[in-house]
Amino acid sequence: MAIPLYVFVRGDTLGLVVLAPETETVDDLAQRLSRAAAPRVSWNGDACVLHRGQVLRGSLTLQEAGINALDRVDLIPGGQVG
Amino acid sequence: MPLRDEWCDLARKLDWSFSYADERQVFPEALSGTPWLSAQQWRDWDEPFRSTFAEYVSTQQKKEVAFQAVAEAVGRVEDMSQLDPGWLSVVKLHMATLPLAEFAAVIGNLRAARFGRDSAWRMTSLLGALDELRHTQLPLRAMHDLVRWDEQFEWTHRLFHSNDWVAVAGRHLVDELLLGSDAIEFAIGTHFVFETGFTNLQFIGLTSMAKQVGDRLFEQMLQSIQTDEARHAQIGHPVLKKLVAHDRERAQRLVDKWFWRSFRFFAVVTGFAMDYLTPLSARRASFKEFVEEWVVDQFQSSLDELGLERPRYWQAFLDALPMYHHMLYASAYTYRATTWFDFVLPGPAEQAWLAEKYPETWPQLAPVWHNITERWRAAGPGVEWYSHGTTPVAFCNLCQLVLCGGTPSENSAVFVERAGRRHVFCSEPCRELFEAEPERYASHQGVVERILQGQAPANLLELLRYFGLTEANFGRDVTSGEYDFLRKPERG
Repeated sequence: MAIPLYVFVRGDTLGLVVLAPETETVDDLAQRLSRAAAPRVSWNGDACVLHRGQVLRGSLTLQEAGINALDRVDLIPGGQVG
Repeated sequence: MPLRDEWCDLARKLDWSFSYADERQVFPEALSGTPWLSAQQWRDWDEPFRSTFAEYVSTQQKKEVAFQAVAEAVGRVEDMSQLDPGWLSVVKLHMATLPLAEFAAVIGNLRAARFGRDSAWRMTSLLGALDELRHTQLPLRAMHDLVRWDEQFEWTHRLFHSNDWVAVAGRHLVDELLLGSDAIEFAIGTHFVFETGFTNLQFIGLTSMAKQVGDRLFEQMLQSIQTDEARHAQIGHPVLKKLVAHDRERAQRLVDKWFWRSFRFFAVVTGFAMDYLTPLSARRASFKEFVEEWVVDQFQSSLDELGLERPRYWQAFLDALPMYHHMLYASAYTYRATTWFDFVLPGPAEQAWLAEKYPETWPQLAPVWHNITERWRAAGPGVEWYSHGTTPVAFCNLCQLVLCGGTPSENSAVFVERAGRRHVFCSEPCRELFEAEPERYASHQGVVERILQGQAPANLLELLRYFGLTEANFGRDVTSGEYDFLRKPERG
């Protein structure tokens, strides 16, 4: 099932709503968010997905990571974690 | 005392005692406002214009003649088509939002003309209602003949009836401010905060820009409207003064709320115009400078005079002033097809001007414009989609505007769980205002809620149709990417 998420990409000017399958991995979600913000933001290098203040492991599915419908998810450059 | 003044006071202050109905029944608190005070307590209410109906009609007739003359002389397609295309977007934006707000203001003024607690107040509100009806009609009249030339001008009329996100946000504001408020809240929110505090940005700031770009029609219309606003805005001060005397806390709360909500609205309609859509050669000052002059200084002195504090969200407003409308404009630029007016891509000269006007915030915004510019450069002229978003946008559950609070490195969106529903707000003030009166707002269906419930489509192209937009009228870049600066590689 696809779930709607509020997403915020570091460096972007607005929040977006994406629909993502619960079975999608966090890495795939990061790609999806990066594409969604591409008209305004482009990064070189790694990006991390932040959920409830925690950086999520890329191999987890959204379900495994405990991401629920309408949760806030942030995409930040790998170098800015911490 | 001259005969005119003697007669005027007799006619304006014409109250009477009720014999078969209670005063509270004639002026119920739900409509007349809180706190409910007796007629005796309102008896000293007055405003400085003290216009008679005959004087009003005579003055308005002269204004109408002047406006019609200008419209006929310089408001034709051949005149308007000479104007800068960015400026035409200012016109389209304002001409569409004016009827939406002004028509609702007719209703608000009529309510005050019946339920205002003093006869002079009611008389001035009646004239205010006639003013607002005129302000609804002026843009409809002025833009009518232009529709055959450019279909976007049809949105002067169409926005009011559409589901476009700007209309959803605009209606959320004006429904509460102008249609749903009692006479006291209306007087304070509309006349004191919205009109006295903010509309000078439009009617004085934009008028000077219209003059600079050579748009005499817009200049004349704004001047004509401004003189009406200056008169009926005077209702706010004496109502607020009375409220301060009897319920200071409520007075402060209403000022706090409407100050924040008005700022959010004007950041769109005036912020876009002053800092992006108006050609550089015609800009007199930045949006921030205008706000500092007309709102920060003048509004603050009005509050001081009444013994009120600065609005509760003053610091949030000062923090947002150099950033919020920039965040919103960059976002809207990359979703330009969701509006009925076109957008300007700020080039090197415009960005240098913005960097000078906003030294503290522009360095955070410049990378966004660099990215958009590079995408135009890569795609070439005419390829709008490459610098356009396709993912649905998130909106604030209070102001209904895009979640553009904070900065690019830290969006200020806040989430709240209430009655099994998750609400999102662009900022702390919007969250706080919502939570202070949840029964007023909780059932509203914003764009995202409509999408999630299947009432509106999630696919952008389908959503444009839901908004009422078609390929013939949706917003684009004003040049479709045909800028000189895009032809040359960027240095550095």
